[in-house]
Amino acid sequence: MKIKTIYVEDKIKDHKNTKQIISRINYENLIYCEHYSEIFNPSNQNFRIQKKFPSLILAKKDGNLVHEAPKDFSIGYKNNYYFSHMFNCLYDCKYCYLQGMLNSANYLIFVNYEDFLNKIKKIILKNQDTTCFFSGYDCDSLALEKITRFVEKSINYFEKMNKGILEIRSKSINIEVLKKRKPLPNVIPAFSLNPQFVINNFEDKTPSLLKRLNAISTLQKNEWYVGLRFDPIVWNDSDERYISFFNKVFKTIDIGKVHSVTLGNFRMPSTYLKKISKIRPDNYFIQFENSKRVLNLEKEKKNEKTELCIKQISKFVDKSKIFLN
Amino acid sequence: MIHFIIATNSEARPLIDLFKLKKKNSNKLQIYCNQDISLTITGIGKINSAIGVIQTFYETSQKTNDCWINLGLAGHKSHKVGKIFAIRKIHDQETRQNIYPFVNSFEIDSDECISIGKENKRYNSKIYEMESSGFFNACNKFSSKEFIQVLKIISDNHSESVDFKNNEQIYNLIIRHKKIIIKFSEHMKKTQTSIFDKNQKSIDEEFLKLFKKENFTFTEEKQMKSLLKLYFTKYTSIEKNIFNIKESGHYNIKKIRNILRL
Ligand code: SF4
Repeated sequence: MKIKTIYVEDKIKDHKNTKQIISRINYENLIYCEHYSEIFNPSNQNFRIQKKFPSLILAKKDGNLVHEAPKDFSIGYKNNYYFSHMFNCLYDCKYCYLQGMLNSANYLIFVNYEDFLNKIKKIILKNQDTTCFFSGYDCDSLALEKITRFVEKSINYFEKMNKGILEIRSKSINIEVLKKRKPLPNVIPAFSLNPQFVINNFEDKTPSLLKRLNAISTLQKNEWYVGLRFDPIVWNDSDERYISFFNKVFKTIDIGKVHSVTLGNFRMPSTYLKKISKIRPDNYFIQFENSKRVLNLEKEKKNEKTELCIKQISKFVDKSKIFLN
Repeated sequence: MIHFIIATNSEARPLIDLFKLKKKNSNKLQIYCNQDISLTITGIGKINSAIGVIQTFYETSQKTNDCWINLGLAGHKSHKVGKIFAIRKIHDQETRQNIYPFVNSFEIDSDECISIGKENKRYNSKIYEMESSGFFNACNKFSSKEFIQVLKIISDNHSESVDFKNNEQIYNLIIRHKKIIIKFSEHMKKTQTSIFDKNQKSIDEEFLKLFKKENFTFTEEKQMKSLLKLYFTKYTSIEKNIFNIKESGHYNIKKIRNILRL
């Protein structure tokens, strides 16, 4: 992978993961810093420019490593947590909330994986019921796996943690790490899906729908149970086109090996939307959503659309596996 | 616009000639301009440099997100005299602040520098100079960090040095990099226009062209501007007669909402 500049925090320059990650990258500049926030946090930087030419920052995450997930965020387990070993991703979705949340588009990787996994273990041991952990909350879990190898390490860890569930959410078709090993019932590869016309308009640089569906089928053939994430569903055309999209998805994959299906509408904190509307002045969808925010319009009644999705999906998958996020 | 912030007259002269800049009437600092470029001679040191940036901003375009370049001579233990570098990390020796200018895709050697408060001939493995931290901090008030760059040309090392009193020597040291300086500036400008020219219309200007400000409450003005922004994602121009300039903000908001089906 070609990245021109890598920033490394002084305190982790000798960390094993730092050295391994650096060795996998074809870089020109290695710059040491005291703390990643010196580069990542200053406010007067431009997300769009950095997105075109991102640098990599390697750092150590201190403090709260694993967070409780929002109340409705679930795929059927009682305890739900998320964590972010990385911020930002290779792709450039127009609706991505990271553009509103972060000041920088540089890839930030926390190399102290062991601290994340230890914290996860503590939570699993503390909770009586099964606990689900969502990775890839602020990044794409698989897209940079070739350089991070985080998923590989996590899966090895979860092999011994049967009261813990790990969801690996992605749009990437980089599934080697899963293909090469025996499937685990407590690790769920989950793919975000949208119709191809939505991918064309909103999910820049991501793999096509067909490629994602092929990746799902390949994993299912390898006995993995896969999660389907229709989240966010971007409503951008007639209902018929969405109906044919759901038909295509469920006719391509093995419906017997679907772990769960989640559905979510486009949603974003108002401060993020305000910020994104400034950096994407030419995008109709963002400006439309932002105008609704400024005009204080009542949230569009999306129930009808959600009902339509549930109706279509439940033709193929049992309702007990469908979750609204 | 691109603004060059330069410490001394002898460092500035090659660029004044290169870009054919004309002296501007300014009673405080020496500012030279053409339509697209300004150059300010600030005097040595980070405070002078910061003051120069602020003065330049208010005496020229007063536009946020213009491009800013600090170009000047600098020392290093071993770098060859005459070599040019883009600075990728600035360490302010007095405040201990670290600044990381954006490393863009332009192909140029880069290095770290120490911004010192007082002249010092103790060479070390970092480039040392006296302006960049003040320059960068001041520019960052007006521009995003991707549009602020520092270029340094090595003037002295542990075994040789230019004669700082010899203007011709300094002129030649800088002017030999004219191609890099031009291309580097163009690269920054291109990045800037790729981002900001897309926002085809100044919504504030459009608003004032179409309406009487006094017909709008504060909230209505915000709403109308947001709707205009939405409108211009679809259309390139707007017919004045869609609206009624005499009517209230509320009335005209309703009009545009109908067009936008919102
Ligand atoms: S894949 Fe996810 S994290 Fe990456 S840009 Fe798209 S929405 Fe953002």
